[in-house]
Amino acid sequence: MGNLFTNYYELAAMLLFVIGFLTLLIQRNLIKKIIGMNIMDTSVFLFLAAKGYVAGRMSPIIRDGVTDASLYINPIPAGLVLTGIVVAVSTTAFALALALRWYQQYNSLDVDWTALKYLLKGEK
Amino acid sequence: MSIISEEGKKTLTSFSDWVSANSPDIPAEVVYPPKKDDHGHGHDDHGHDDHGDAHCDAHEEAHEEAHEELRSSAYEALHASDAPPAAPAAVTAQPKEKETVTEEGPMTERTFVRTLGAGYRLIAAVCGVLLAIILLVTVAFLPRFGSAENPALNEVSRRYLEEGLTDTGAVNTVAGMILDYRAFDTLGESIVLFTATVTVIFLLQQSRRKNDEARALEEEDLQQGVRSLPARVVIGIAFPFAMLYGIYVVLNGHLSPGGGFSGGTILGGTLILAHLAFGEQYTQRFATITRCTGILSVALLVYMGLKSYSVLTGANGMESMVPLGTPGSIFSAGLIFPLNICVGLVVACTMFTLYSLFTKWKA
Repeated sequence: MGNLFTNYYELAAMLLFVIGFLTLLIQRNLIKKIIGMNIMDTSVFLFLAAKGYVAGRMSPIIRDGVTDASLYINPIPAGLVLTGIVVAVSTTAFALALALRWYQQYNSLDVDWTALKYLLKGEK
Repeated sequence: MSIISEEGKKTLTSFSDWVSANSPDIPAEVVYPPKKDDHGHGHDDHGHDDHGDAHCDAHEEAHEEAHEELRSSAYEALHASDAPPAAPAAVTAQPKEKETVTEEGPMTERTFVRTLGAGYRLIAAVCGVLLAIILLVTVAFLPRFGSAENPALNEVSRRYLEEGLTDTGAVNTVAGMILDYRAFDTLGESIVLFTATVTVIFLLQQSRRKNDEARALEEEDLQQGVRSLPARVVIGIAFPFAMLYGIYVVLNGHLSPGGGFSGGTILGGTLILAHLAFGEQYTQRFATITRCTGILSVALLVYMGLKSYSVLTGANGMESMVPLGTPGSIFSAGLIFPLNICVGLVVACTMFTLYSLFTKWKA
């Protein structure tokens, strides 16, 4: 139990994740929901980057041909974060395009209002 | 207040109505005087006034029907006569109106929606707190930050660091990893970007034809760019240097931090800045959506061709017929150099295409 405050990067990542999750759940505006999803993405990147770090070691770029694994930090999380960023950008663009179409259809970005008006009551 | 909401009726009716009806901390009656007027008319028209609380559903329906009606062309005619006297009266006669409407339909709808929303938010907050507790307990049991005993630091990363230079020839282990050992995964990422671009094109291009008059309003800004002189001057000076820096980051991907993804983002961002400052008129000389999607597809095809060549000539991409060169020089690391360029082009074109599509679209 003792590592809660020494793992402050992971702690911040988890808090960011919960903030993004709650934004996604509670906000009624679609754009704000997408922003919440992006906050969750960012928290995962922060967590992965923190997992790759090893205190006192260098970035994984081989210097002077010295290939000693105990000199460099873990390169794998960097690659995973790269993948994650690409997927986050793609999903964000897709979600924003869907939100625009939603706005065009219902003249509102408020999901609750639209659901009540058009879906529950069967209008249009 | 009433005048503003009437002027913005076409676009704001739905959202502001909902917010004022549902937001717990803003009293709906104060924020939204003219709406009450609308309800009154709607109910008069449909004869639902005397049903009371028992016929909540019927009321809601009538209420919404009234909304639909009022939004149609009849709305202006109705309010041309009604609104001017109603507007000053609404401010003074609010308490009285509140009392009369409280027992009727709109109020019950509001309470229903408010209860539903409050319940949902409560459940969401409880879920969030539970999730936070679970995650924080997990963090407390994780290995200490920055410790070398982290289980993530296993033989895979050791292998990449120790053998990566001889296997791939790339000084930057991350570039060697994502473009040689895991090049197939990176191909998948590029295809995700491509798919996102295609989807956004499909979603946003269909509706563009019929909105010509709405587009014409902002056409000028889009064409000419911003009118702010400092922005134009600064972006004009920075544009070539930022492009050069992006190209440098792409070409040095196997030698230094960076590579196709970050360099491509810099290139795309620079193009977006130029579009912002000088408008479509300027950027369409060298970057249009058609051209960008063309470059995107060609770069993806070249990536696939190079990788399949590598897979055909040496299993698992460990060896290829392209010489690895001396580590640290620009023409080294075999296929990583051209693959970085392909990825950079894909990312830059995706960024610029998405931005152009989103700015061109008008509801």
